Amino acid sequence: SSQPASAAMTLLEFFGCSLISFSPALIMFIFTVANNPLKIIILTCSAFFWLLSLLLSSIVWFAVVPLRKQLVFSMVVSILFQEAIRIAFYFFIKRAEEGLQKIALAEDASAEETSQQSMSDNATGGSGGGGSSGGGGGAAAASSAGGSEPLTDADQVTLTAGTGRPVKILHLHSLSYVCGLGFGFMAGAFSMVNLLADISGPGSVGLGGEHEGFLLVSSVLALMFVFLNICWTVVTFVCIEDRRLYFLAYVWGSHLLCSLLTLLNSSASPLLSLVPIMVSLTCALIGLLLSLHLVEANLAGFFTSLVSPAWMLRVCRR
Amino acid sequence: AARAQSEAVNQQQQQSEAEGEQPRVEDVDDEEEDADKLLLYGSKQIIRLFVPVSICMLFVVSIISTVSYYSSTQQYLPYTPFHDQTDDPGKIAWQSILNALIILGLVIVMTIVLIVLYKLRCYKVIQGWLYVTSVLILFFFSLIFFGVLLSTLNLAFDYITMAVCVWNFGLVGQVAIHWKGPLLLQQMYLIFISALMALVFIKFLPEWTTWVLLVLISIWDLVAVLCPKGPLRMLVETAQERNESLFPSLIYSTTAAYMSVGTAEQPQQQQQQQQQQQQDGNVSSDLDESGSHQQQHQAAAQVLNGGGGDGGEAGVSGGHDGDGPDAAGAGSNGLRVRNKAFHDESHGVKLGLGDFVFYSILVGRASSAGDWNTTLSCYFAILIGLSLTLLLLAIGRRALPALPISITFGVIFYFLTSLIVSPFVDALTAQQFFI
Repeated sequence: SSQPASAAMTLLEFFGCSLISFSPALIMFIFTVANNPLKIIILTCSAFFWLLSLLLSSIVWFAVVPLRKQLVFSMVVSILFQEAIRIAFYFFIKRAEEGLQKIALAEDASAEETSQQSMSDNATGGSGGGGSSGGGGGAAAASSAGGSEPLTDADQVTLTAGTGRPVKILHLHSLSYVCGLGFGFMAGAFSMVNLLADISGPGSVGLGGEHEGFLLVSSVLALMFVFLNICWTVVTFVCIEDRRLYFLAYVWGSHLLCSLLTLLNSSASPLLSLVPIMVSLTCALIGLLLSLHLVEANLAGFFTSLVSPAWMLRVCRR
Repeated sequence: AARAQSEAVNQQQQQSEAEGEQPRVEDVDDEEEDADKLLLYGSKQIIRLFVPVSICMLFVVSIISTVSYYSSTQQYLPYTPFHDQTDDPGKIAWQSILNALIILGLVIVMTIVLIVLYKLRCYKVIQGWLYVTSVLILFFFSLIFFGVLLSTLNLAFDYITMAVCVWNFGLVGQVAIHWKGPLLLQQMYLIFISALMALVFIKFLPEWTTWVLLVLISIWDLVAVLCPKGPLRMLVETAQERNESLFPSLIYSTTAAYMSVGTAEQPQQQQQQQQQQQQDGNVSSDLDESGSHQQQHQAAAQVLNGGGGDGGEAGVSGGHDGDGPDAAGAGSNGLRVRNKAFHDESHGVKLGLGDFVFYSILVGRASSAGDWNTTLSCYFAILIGLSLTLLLLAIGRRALPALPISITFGVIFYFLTSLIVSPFVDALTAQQFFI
């Protein structure tokens, strides 16, 4: 179909709303995730898991026919499923890490069989059986072939003997951050993408007769939920890892609160929508402080870094 | 936005401080990366395939949603004779199943012809036919594509300029794909022709036939590659016996090193000849028709044969320890990962163009319904299927079909999302309830 000049106005609205909702997630993706392929895969995985939780909650909504109009019920069910999937994803990632490590060690073992055997004997010094010595030799071969910094004895012992903590593929904190980004992106996308497609059509303000702030409210709430998901995921993962389960109360409580407050969004007045937005913002800030506290970040340093460029921070640390 | 970014940056800085390293505004996982070189290499390969697959799908989805030519089905291919517009589910079912079986039969016939020809070493004819097929796509289909694109954008364009542009575009594509050229250019052209073929399929296939065809093709792919007597497996094994590589010009490759290795150059022409021979046999039947739409049908038929035949080809074995670099062949629907040489990044990953085409068909068909939630969920389902397939390849180290897992996930998620999830999400977003 031909595009008249008035399409420019709706395109402006389209880009405006999409950037309100997604530009923080996009920037975070570009600067922290895009250069690490493993993180991209985990991001895709976590987005898929959120999709699974949505699927489960839709099935429940679909199945419970009399309550289909009462969206409160399905919203609560959906929130429960989302949190359950978040926790399940933690255990999935743990299990996957072990599995992938086994693959990596097996690769090292097979590579080692064709390369120096003597090096492996020296390295392991009689610890473990053939498999573990293969792993150690493989690790040594990997470091020599790769030309990277040599593995310390501690690392070799870790890989070979199997005692102590295995080398992590990804640090838990960045893992939880990436997962939160994936969850948040999918949550925002599913609530915004059809809206954005409608916006880019011939006309947009107040699509079905709603107030003129409809699109803005939706975009801002999507933005809030992206950020909230990151905080919730970081808090959840660190809580389970450290077994401090009482912080999960924050996650569950704030999720229910922010989500159920959006029930105040009505087509009558945009002012009521300020309540969920402000409460979500507060929860997001609390979540940010909580996650920073849990990952043992330096709060003073964090707030300084907000206003200082990176080079200045490096200089300050010296 | 700045705060969120700095938060992430600062988190990493704190972690690196805790680990006693110099604080950097970089990834803190460098320590772990050294110990998990292989894992990172494997994930790099996955990403190197995510990007072109995503670009192809994005291209197809954006064209479907803006250019109305490709989302409307008025004419049909002669291979799908049953296309009544009816709402009767039983009739739709048997018609689409029959259509899909006809097309699948074509694919099977072509694959068998291909194998016979390959065994008889009729390489030159196949090479010539491969050239003709890509000429068809790069000139004829591209001309139509640019034409409808210009009419959608409401731009005026004269035939002379168009002739010059399409001539240059097509010729550079031919050179880049079949001969030498910058890797990026070759990859771009391969993505373009895959997307174009996917668009043609979406245009000419009836809706339910598309879904049944996708399922049948992935079952065929599974059977042909994994069964001991499967034709594609025999193809791969024959190629390995002769120490040749298969059809490198219809495979998306992430590195060019493969092409420049010595033994690859000669057999390349041979395999191209095989493909052309197989497609030649199918063209002779419909050379009598005339008219632009008929010609398009012909072209689509020929391309379909080409695409289907390539689509019917085998997956490729994973790295074979101790073999020569080109001993393991490559096929259109296969994957190839050099698992062994984690320090040798010159061997990249290869994915057949048939896989690109069918993934894009799935996502394009999902988006033609107009619901973007469905499109998004199909996209992620396909990506997850692709990573699972690559993971299995890393574990199994043998020829694997790339279609089954992704297509299964994609089809399941398409139907689940469009029937169950979308009404739920639409009800929520209409009232601005967020979950």
